[in-house]
Amino acid sequence: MRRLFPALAGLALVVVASFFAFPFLWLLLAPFKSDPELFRALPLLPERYAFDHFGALLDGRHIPFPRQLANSLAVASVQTALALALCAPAGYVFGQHRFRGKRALFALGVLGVVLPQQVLVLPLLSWFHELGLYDTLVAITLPGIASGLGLVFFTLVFARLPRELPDLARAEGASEGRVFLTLLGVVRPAVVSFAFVHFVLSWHEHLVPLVMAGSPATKTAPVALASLYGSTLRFPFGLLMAGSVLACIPPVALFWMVRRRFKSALEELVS
Amino acid sequence: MSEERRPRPPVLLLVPFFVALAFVWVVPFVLGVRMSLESDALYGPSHFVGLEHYRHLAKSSRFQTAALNTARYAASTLLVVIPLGLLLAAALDRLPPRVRSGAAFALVLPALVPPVVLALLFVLVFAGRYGILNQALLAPLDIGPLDWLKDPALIPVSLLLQAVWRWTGLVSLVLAAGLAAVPKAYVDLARAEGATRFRAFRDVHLPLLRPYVALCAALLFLDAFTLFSGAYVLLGASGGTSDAGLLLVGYAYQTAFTYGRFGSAMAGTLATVPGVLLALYLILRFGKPARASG
Repeated sequence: MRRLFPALAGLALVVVASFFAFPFLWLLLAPFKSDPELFRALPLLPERYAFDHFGALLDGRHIPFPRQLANSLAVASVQTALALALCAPAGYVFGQHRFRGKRALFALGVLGVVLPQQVLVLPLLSWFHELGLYDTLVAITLPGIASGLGLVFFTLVFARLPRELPDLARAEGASEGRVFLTLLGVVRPAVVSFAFVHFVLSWHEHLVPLVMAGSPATKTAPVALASLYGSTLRFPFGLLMAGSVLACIPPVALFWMVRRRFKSALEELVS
Repeated sequence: MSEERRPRPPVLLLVPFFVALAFVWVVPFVLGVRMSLESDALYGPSHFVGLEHYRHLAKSSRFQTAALNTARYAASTLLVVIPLGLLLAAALDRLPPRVRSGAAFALVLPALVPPVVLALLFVLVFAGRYGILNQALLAPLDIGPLDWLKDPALIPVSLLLQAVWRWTGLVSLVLAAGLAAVPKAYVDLARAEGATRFRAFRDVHLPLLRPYVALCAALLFLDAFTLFSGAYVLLGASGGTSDAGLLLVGYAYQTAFTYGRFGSAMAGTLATVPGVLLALYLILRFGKPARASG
């Protein structure tokens, strides 16, 4: 009986995990299939492996997809770097210091979680339009930089560090900037986790780049795929699946690299 | 511990964040409030109309449909994904570590797929007679092809299935982290006092899981309120048949960009903010660990 439970749980888990993995596997193999095969669930494997769809997508015949992938990469990396540079120092101050007006300032920062960029997309559009930023990558990148999630996360992370650590550094005459950098080295796993989550969220974003980008050369990969689906091309499903697979690679690859650190970050956020 | 020895807070380190917040959040927020109080002119000067857009919303059945659909979508996602995630987490907790990390990777994959890609994938799953769901699951059971994207009764189910596929794995991992953090001594004590496995789970694990459940609930709730891609791709930037798939972000997008009514769209968005705040507050209050309650 004691051994039966784990076995049953394991079996159930395999069934459920394959239910979750099946569409993903199917997606992975889809770009190699011919159009009629695409509309069949099984067999899972294509009759023959053809790279035509990748070729037609990447040679820019229909849309400048390599450019759009590069846009996505640039937006997500720059936005992540900026969000880190803004949220980590602010989180350090909120987590390690007391001062007047702290609660009010913190609450203002947290409102960004509740009213995210997607909610403010219309005024953002008119504001950036006035500044002459419409249809630029800058307009797609900026709305996500002041991350409320990042502020909360880094405040929790820095608040949990033992007091002795910064006090020791200060006793040795380190400036506050120096103390911050020292502590940042201590919480490196949290930095990696936040960077990962922010990169993925930014990579996934659909509404803001859809609204901010006017021309194909400014679109990000998800926006380009959605508009290819809505275009007049007949049955572009092979192309769409090829683009979809390419658009999944960066988040999945990043997750593979940080998967060990991810769990500790979860615990940071909850307890 | 002496308070007076605390160093002066390095305000300079706060400045970049709040300058950026002012630029990308405070200014747009103020502009948004103003936008919602002005007439719907797409070009040229618009004039102040006060609360007219808000009054109009109170009478707009389309706005109410969108709000109701969103609330329903959020509630159904929570009610399906969290219990399912809890079951999975309990199963994960019993696996040997090596199998567990493999399963964990497979479970996170759906959350890493961009929502647009997920929607495109589900177009093929749901696409009418030729959809994979109809062919693979329903045809063998001799159930006629169901029109997942056209039938108003099935559109919410299609959206829900997407959310379940996307989030259940991630939620189960968060809850599994919570289960792993339950001190073994508590469980042993409960078992020693004769509690069954189920009772130990209900009385020891579940209360300690509350903060984790709240985190997942907040995530799912916020996702429901910002969901755009699924409905936008699957239903072609409309609400679908009889607006059965009309959600709040889609409503605002359509009002603004299809009808050119920015003021109304903004009013519709801002009108839902108090409700969202209240729901999030309740969720997070639920997550506060219960103290000294038996």
